[in-house]
Amino acid sequence: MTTVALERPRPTGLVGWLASTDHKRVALLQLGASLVFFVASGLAAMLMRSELAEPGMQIVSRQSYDELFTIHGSGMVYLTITPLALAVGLYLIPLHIGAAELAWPRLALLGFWLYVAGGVIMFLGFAIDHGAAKAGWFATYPLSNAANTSGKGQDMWICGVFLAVLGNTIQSGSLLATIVRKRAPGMTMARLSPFTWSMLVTVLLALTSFPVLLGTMAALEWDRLQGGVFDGHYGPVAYQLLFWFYGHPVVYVMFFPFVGMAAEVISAFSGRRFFAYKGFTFSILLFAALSMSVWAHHMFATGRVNNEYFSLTSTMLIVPAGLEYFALIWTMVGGAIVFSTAMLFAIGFLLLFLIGGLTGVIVASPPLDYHLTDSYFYVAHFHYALFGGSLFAFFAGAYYWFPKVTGVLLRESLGKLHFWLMVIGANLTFFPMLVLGFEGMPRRVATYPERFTTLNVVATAGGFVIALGVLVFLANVWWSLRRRVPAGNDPFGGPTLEWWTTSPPPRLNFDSLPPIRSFAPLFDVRENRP
Amino acid sequence: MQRRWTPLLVWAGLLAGLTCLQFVFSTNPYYWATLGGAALVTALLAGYYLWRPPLRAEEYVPDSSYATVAVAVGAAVAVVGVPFGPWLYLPGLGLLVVGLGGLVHELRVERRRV
Repeated sequence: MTTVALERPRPTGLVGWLASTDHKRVALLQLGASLVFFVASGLAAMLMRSELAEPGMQIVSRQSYDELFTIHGSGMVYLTITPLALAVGLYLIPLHIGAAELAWPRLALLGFWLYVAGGVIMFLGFAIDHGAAKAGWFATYPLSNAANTSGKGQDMWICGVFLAVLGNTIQSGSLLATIVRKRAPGMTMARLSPFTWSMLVTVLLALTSFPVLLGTMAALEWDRLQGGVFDGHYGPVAYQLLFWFYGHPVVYVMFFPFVGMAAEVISAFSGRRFFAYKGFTFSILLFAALSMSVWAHHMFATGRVNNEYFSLTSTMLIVPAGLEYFALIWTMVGGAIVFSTAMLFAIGFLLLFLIGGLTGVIVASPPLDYHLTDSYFYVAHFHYALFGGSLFAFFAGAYYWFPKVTGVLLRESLGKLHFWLMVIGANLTFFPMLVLGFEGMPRRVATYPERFTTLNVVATAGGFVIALGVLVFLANVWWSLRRRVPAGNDPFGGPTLEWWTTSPPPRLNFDSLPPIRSFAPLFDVRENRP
Repeated sequence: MQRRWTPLLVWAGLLAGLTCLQFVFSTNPYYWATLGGAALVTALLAGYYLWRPPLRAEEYVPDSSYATVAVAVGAAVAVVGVPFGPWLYLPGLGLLVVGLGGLVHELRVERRRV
């Protein structure tokens, strides 16, 4: 299929960017917005960690603390990592499949603006009477009803979540249609890059789970305005069952794209084709399907769910996860590994996510969950998975694809400093939380007994090391854009189609395409394969 | 470009299988309605791609869409207006209608150019 842009002057300037339907511009806008929300949510975390540096109340009130942990969690889940994952997909998917543009590009733009509006509305809660939402990132019912959380901040949170998730759902539809309909000649499903497969399962997860949250948020708002939705004896359990049908798959929406990014980075910097490609694609499909079926393991402690089924499916996740790890590690074995910053972050992802995954196996067992539920062990578990996992892989991708997006290289020396600060900071922050949780420190508390002080001080220090690492990354981006080192079209010898075109790519991505005979078409070209 | 529906059908099959597995353990309607519903929606989507007519040889893409931004802002104001009252959701709905009108206009102009 040939795609032709409309013959009219391309809009320029800020307004032109803000209304652009070019998938690369929409993706960069979304990337920028999600990084802004990342910094804002990170500042909330820094305030919380500062408060927790000593027992007792020093910096914020208890109510403010509740608002901070709610907005930190919500900001990271709804406004940072999920949109970040989709933004990377919006930029790269058309390039990986040899397409000129997304399917339904207006939907991608619509999704971006709904998401930004949702984020702004959520944060505006801080500016009104009674403050922002304070019922946690999953708005536990009945804590989130009108009687227990008064004020419009909670309503704004519900509207913000609804809009942001609606935007993400719409963008997922555009990405699914792109992968299914817009592939270049020769790009069969069996030749999609590992990253494209990871995005395909991501959007399938999003399209089948996010609409349930949209309905749940609408019902929760109705309950706050009129009552009578969740206030029966089964109401709180029903709310949780519906919320977690979104709440668990979204963890994988925040994970799979980053596995795909790590896979591309590991393949490029090992100089090898991705190992066990078919096994990887099968395992990622199985992994995603199972992850749709584990949601009530968040509710073991309620005593109102079928623990046997949800424990079984949660434990079964080990099988596809193990296959993926095997494929990622075996891609490196025998390869000519280059320990660039991108590769270091990809290896860091493997190691830190392993801790997140193994602690997940522990809490998939109901008896252990009863001991650990709502403790800092959980905080450590999902931060190892989402911070140590997703964000490390994001940074791997950032160092790998920054030259394609901007045409210039990031500085390796600053990159390695960034990496080591993040490794040290992440472990200093989150490992003490595992111990704190096991010893009984509950989550979402603004103070604690004296015996937990030392580990909390270590965790707070680690938080500031992470913040320093993020500052080094931002400085690296700023410095690299000011003192430009041209990258060329293919600085790392990557396997996929985006490295065939210019850096940055033109409006319709490609002037020509190489023959596509496998999932690594540029390796084929370099190896002169027929 | 053949069998565009295959991954969707595989996905629907996996979800349907897990829904069946749930019945071994429990018949809680929340379990099968959510997961079974997801399987059904995916199967319908696969059916849509199965019967969808072939793609046109040429497809035009827009460079920008101000109407889309108006739709998004209008929808956002209308949604956040729900807890605040008609003084906020009515202007939002107005902007949404204007945006949708603009979108129809944009699509008509594109069709004429094609």
